[in-house]
Amino acid sequence: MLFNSWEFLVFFPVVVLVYFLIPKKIKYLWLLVTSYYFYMCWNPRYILLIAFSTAATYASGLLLDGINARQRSGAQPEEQAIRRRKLVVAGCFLINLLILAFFKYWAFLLDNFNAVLGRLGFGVIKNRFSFVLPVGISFYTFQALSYTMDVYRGDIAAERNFFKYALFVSFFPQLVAGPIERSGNLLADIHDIPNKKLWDYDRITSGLTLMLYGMFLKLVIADRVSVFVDGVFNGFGACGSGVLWAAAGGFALQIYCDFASYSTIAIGAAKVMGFTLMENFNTPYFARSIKEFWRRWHISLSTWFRDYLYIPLGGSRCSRWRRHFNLMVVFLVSGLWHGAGWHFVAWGCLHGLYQVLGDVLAPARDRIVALLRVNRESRAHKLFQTLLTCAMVTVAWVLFRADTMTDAVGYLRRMFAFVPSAGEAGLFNFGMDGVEWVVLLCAMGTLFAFSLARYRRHETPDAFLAGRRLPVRWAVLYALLFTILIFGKYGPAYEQQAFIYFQF
Amino acid sequence: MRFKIIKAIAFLLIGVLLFVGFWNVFRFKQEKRLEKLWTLPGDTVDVMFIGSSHAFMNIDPSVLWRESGISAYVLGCGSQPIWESYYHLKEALKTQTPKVVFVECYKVDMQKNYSSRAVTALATSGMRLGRNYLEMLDASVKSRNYMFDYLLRFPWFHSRYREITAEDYMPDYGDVYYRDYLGYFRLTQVIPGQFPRDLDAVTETARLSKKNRTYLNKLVELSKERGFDLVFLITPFWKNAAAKQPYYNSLAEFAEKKGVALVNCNLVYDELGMDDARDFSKTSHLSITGAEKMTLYLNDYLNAHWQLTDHRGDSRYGVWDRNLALMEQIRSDPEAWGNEFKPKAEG
Repeated sequence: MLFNSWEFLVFFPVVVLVYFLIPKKIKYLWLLVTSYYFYMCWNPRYILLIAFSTAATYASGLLLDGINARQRSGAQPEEQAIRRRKLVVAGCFLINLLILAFFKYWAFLLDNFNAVLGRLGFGVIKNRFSFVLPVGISFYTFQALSYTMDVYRGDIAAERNFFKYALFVSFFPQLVAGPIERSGNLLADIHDIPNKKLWDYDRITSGLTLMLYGMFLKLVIADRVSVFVDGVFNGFGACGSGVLWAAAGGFALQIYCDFASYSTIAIGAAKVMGFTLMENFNTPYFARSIKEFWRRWHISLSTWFRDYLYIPLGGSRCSRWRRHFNLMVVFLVSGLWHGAGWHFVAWGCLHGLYQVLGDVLAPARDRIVALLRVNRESRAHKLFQTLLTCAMVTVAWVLFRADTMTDAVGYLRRMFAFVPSAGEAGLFNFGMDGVEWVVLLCAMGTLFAFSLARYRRHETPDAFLAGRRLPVRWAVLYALLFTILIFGKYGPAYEQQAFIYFQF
Repeated sequence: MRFKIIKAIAFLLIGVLLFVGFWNVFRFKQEKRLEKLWTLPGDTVDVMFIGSSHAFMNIDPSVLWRESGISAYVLGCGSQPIWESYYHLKEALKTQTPKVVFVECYKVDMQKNYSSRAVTALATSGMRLGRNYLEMLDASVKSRNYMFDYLLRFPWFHSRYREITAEDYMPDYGDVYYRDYLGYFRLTQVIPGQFPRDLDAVTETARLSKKNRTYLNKLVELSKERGFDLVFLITPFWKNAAAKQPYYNSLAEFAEKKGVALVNCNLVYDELGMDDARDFSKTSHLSITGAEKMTLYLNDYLNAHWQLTDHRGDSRYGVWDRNLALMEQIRSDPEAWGNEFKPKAEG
């Protein structure tokens, strides 16, 4: 079930209404049942994977708790306890990551293995497993594993109630595309259900506003620009460099609006029910460096990698070269997390490289700035930094969006060769005529306005509107609503577009 | 809290008002026959014609009014299959009690069990939400994926933003033709036809689909239930006429078995006084002169089999008077009026 489907428009109010009305003690069970139903609407069989991942990580929590208790009572020596704790964590990670690897990377690994076999003159191994990638497997696996790590580190106590824990792993608003929540936040929220004031007008309207804004991003911007982006990426060989840059920029816009929309709807939906999910995007394209970009983009994943991979590797409290190595490992893994393909790996590596080079070249940059007497606090300099960061991110997105590594290289070559545009492959020849471009530009203006409020005043769209006078607030809400109704890409004329991040 | 509840209700009410405005401007305007039927005084229609474009482009109720004072109305949508005619008729019977119902059966040869999405979208566009609507969707929509789109309807027309014109904001679509509309779609453009004169030589039959037979049976049952006389009707067309005739022969057998009359005008083409050169228009439909001849034939047929009341002079039937006055104007200078706007419905 997609957020941008009619089914969800029926499902969500029913879930919320029943949730508000039933006794406090069983509210979490209702959410668990509906979350499982939500996932099963897509593929009922794959619910077993979530159930298994839930059971494995739940058991790991209890085991870790048991070891800690025995250690505290003196029944188990510290060394043995540490060894056993590590064994439990390693076993839990291994089981979950193997499942993830099998479903997500099996075909990729086999293809590459076969390529090597082919070069050596051996016959290829036939792929006997044919399956679709379980939606959201990377998200819920990472969320579940974070729980094991948190218990291991002693940040939280192990959850005793299996059903509450199962809800933590499967909570439907963020189940298939995040934000990847932390146990300290969401599990605590689940425990707090009986104490929540559910009929809170301001909170409910704030959540609904976020959902509306998310729908706007998805249906009006992301799905509209995707027509142009898909057209150009599918036939980039005939396009001039200008169009290729436009499509790369278009994809930067598309993936942001697509992914941020999902997170915004998820946060809004959770808010309506009284849950607070973590922020996942904070105006990433206003970042003035790649490092800052990653503090603003897919925050829940970036912080996951920081807390559970980068810091365990040594983080930044080590030698410069070790730090660079750690960075490259994190971004390599991040690339692989996003997809089973060399172009995703290259995308991750490029972002890692950007940061390493940024660090290495920092002294040279400082010298140039001093030499040219650039005022680093000037608006022009800040704008230059933002634009440069945007351009670097956009170039990297080409690797992400291309179907193969060969396509990505071909696209980038043409992009930087500054080939003139051919008449039949211009901006208006890829499913976007003048009217569509005008609609898109107006929608982008709205996005920019909300982003500016977020960047300068630190106000999310709901908070920004809540601070306005009622006529202004309502006018904006109606404008958003009717822009979606009229200009949204939905209905039989358009096939429903799944969210891009579902595949990860 | 009370203030917040009032605020929420006010927000919803304004939203509903805006939505109604959006709906009225954006909705499809092509298929307006059901919609206009609701504006007629109840129980005024004595003769109902219902079917595909071969009903509403080939039959002009103003001719029946002019000749005999018969109050007739044409219902239907382009390419409308028999099952959609059945549900449209059920819907029409909510306000009208016709004495005679002609079901135009051009599409009775249809072998597919579902019509195209566009046809169903248009056929449903004038219907009110209710049991008939839901049953018609069940009969017409193959992919359940689109069920919500049909139920809500606006997903079908919201993307009309590039084709909205001033007429979309005006009553009767800004066209005097729809002020006193009785369902006839005028085709003033003449495109000569080549009617095959040897159709009666086609004696073989072709099996009607199970779904068509089911709905023909339902129509027969409905006529008994609601007490109207049912007539199956084929209006003249020349394209693929020979290929379709075996299906109409089967329809004749069915009609005879059920005791229902069938008027196949393709078999009495010469009796209609048609002229291939003047009486056809686009895609084998009749031009305005052809429709007049066709309706004159029906006038004779009606008068020969029923004693229908002459309603001329009755103030409740003013719509028919005004419609006739307009149609006479159009007939006197068809070129000046041209074809009805946006003739998307065909079939």
